[in-house]
Amino acid sequence: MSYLDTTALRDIARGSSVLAGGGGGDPFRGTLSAVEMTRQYGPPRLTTLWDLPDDAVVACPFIIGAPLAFLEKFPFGDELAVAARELQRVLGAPIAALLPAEIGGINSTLPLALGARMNIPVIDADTMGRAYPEMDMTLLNVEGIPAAPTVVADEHGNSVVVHATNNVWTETLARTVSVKFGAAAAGIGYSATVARLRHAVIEGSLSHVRSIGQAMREAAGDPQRVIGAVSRLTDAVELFRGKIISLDREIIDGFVRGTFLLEGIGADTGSQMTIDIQNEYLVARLGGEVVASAPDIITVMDAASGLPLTTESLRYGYRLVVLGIACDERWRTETGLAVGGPARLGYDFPYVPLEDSPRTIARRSAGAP
Amino acid sequence: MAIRIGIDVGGTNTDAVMMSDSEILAWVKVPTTADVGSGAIDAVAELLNQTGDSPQSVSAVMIGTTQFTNALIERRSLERVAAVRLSLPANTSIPIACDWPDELRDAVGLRTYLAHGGSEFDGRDISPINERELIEIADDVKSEGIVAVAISSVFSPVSPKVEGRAAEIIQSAAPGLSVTLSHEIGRLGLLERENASILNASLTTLARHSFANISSALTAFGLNVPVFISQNDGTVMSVEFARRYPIRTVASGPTNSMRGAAFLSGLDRCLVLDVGGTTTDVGALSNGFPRESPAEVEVAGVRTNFRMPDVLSIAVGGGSLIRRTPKGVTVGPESVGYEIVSKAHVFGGSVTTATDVAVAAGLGDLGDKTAVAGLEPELVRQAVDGWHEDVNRVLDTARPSGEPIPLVLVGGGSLLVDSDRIDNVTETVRPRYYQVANAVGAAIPQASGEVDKILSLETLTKEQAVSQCRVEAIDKAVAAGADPDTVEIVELETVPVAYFAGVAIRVRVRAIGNVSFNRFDLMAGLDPVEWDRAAGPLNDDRSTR
Repeated sequence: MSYLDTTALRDIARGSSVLAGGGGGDPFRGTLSAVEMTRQYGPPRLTTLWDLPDDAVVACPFIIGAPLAFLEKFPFGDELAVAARELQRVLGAPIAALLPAEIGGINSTLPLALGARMNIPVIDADTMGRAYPEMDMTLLNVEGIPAAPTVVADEHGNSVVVHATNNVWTETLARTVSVKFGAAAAGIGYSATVARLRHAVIEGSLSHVRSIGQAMREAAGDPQRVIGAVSRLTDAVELFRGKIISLDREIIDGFVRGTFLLEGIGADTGSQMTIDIQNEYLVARLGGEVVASAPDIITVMDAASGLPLTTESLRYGYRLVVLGIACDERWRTETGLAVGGPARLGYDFPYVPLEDSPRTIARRSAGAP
Repeated sequence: MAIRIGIDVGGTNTDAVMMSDSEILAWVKVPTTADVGSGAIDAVAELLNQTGDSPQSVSAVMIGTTQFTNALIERRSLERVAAVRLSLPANTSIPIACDWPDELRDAVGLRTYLAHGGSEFDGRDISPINERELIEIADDVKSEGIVAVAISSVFSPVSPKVEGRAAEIIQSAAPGLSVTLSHEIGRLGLLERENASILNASLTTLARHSFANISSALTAFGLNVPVFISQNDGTVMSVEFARRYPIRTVASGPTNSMRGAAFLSGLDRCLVLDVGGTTTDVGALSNGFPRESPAEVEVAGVRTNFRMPDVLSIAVGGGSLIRRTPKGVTVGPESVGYEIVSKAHVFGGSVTTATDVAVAAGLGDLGDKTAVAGLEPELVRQAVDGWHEDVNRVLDTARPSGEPIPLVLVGGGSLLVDSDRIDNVTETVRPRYYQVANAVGAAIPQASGEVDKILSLETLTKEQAVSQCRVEAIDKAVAAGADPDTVEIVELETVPVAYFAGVAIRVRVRAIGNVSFNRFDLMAGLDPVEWDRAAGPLNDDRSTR
């Protein structure tokens, strides 16, 4: 068990922006509230599944609503505690630890805010290893762990318990309730025993992003060193270096869709890469051929600063370094791909693991990272 | 003949132009003075001297000033502020101003209060306002001796009345407070809007003094004319309006240069490169206005979200130092700045600057050309190549798309740019009067009003929602000084709210009109002596508080 100070919290937020693959939303407000809860209640504790008894209950906290409403209302405080207490009542058991649903954006720092607030340890793990736009795109779903019962709560202390027959119903009902809660509500669900979760989560992910964030902080100001450190720590393959020469993107209240075209620079001069966006960077194509796709992570770093760029912040003329990072093996099974693979995201090409892509093989045999 | 004078008060120079309609009659550059008023008068006197006109022939003075930006950056002349957020029981997890730089928090002696109130996105109350709670806050503010208050309420761009009602209660319990309401300052995004409101409140005393100083200086000179102040979006506001919203001036400097470039070149869709002594600003214009910054913009280290021009800067200018390093020749970021007129080789000095290299490369004819004849050709080549690479890179990032568009060069350092080396532009234009594009931008007589809000579609149709916002934007433009007969809607955007299509709609409207000089009589109701009395002493010494 270890404690996270505010530097560690900021490192986690920074590092998770790499694995967020351009998505996960703005971590700014979530990080501020985690820092504030730490100031008020003391630092959150980090634990592992192996430090907890088999029958201990673990749950995933999250926010639910419209991205626009979160700009005005910050459901990271009492609302979350209300939801957690209600879930404990429904389950008839205390929540022994909190599990981050994703490692990227707001939902990776939010369990730390709640953990500090309620003095509940947070498990050094997550359920995606990346960020996805919908709550059912998780390895817990792959493992058949239900989201229900899920509790949705507001700042007045109102809460609604959703008992649904499947995860799609849970999402629909919880979202409907969140409208009446001002379109910005706190939720908690996906509760399971430690025994059930042992093989369903990605372990060590908070420590992993913390070390990425720390390396980025230490190398700040030297973009090549930042990108080098990130590549080394994530075992990334550098897919491309190029300049954005066209950007066709729509941002509708926080939801980003579109595609952009990169013209190669340096060693990649003469070739072009296109990348598709659906909140995250989902598919990278070189000369029309897919070279990386979800569930593998495509992350885009600004060559001038070395910092990862979200899909909202891209602009014409930016010079980028595109990295591919292999996803967890469980995403590559048949059920894993059904939950988070290209077909689920509306594509009809077959998934090829990043390491087997001809581009990766060529880059790695040439001695590139 | 209606003559107007545009003045841009920069950190080093005060630039001014005298214009009649679209004709430039005279221009001048004078050193900026500590009190903005006397520098402005020096400039005006010189202009009138050049043309032989009398003060009576001038019909308006329009001023762009960086002094509020500088006050925030240098953390001086800031008023103490009490910030009241109406949100309880919501929004307890992120305190007011919790991520501000400590020195700025201290400089505004910030006291913060959370109170009941606030609205949901659909206009419902989060909780009703609690009058007693607000009276207690007012009493505390009064006993602290604080005179500036910033009030923010959740979703106030949707339900502005909540902030107004809270202000009434607080002001009647503690008369004499100057109150900033967040919905009049920023748009959706509570933290950012709240931050901007607090910054605004901290500047209100300085604004009263400064504008009173300008007005009395102009009056003493015999200029009994309306005064307008440049705001961030490139339009102007009446001085009365600016007194209440000084934060709206903080980005007006770069905007004025870009608007001036559009005016002088006659191009309204182009890139603009403004080369100064130390830095070069780059932006893109569409419809004659700078593109809006897509991201949150930091002001003095604080996140805000008001409409700001999308301007990129690189540390290369006419005074940039040229150095030889093991990695090659570097240009900047160090610069001799305004001392270029004595330190550069071409002006008899002994420092190698970008201007010297530009003259040696034959890009411009300036000063004593023989003084740079001895510069090594290889150094000249590398330096010129280096900065054109920087300029092309930043131009690329400023472009709206890959399609070639014209480039307009302005600013005193623009001779550094060799148009043959600029990539992907249809033409490069350096208009006449390029040296004072910023003052020309300040003299463009337009005023605007903006609305950005979410409306519930439960009680309104979409058409009613849009027409309500149009009326509001037009009213705001008129309040800022526009002639109602000339106001037009220049931007109208409706966006369905994700997850709530059919339930709510986000509407953004911007209206712009020509300023009517006749409607404003500066001196009527705006007695400078009154202003001084209302403003109280301007305290620069925080330790006495």
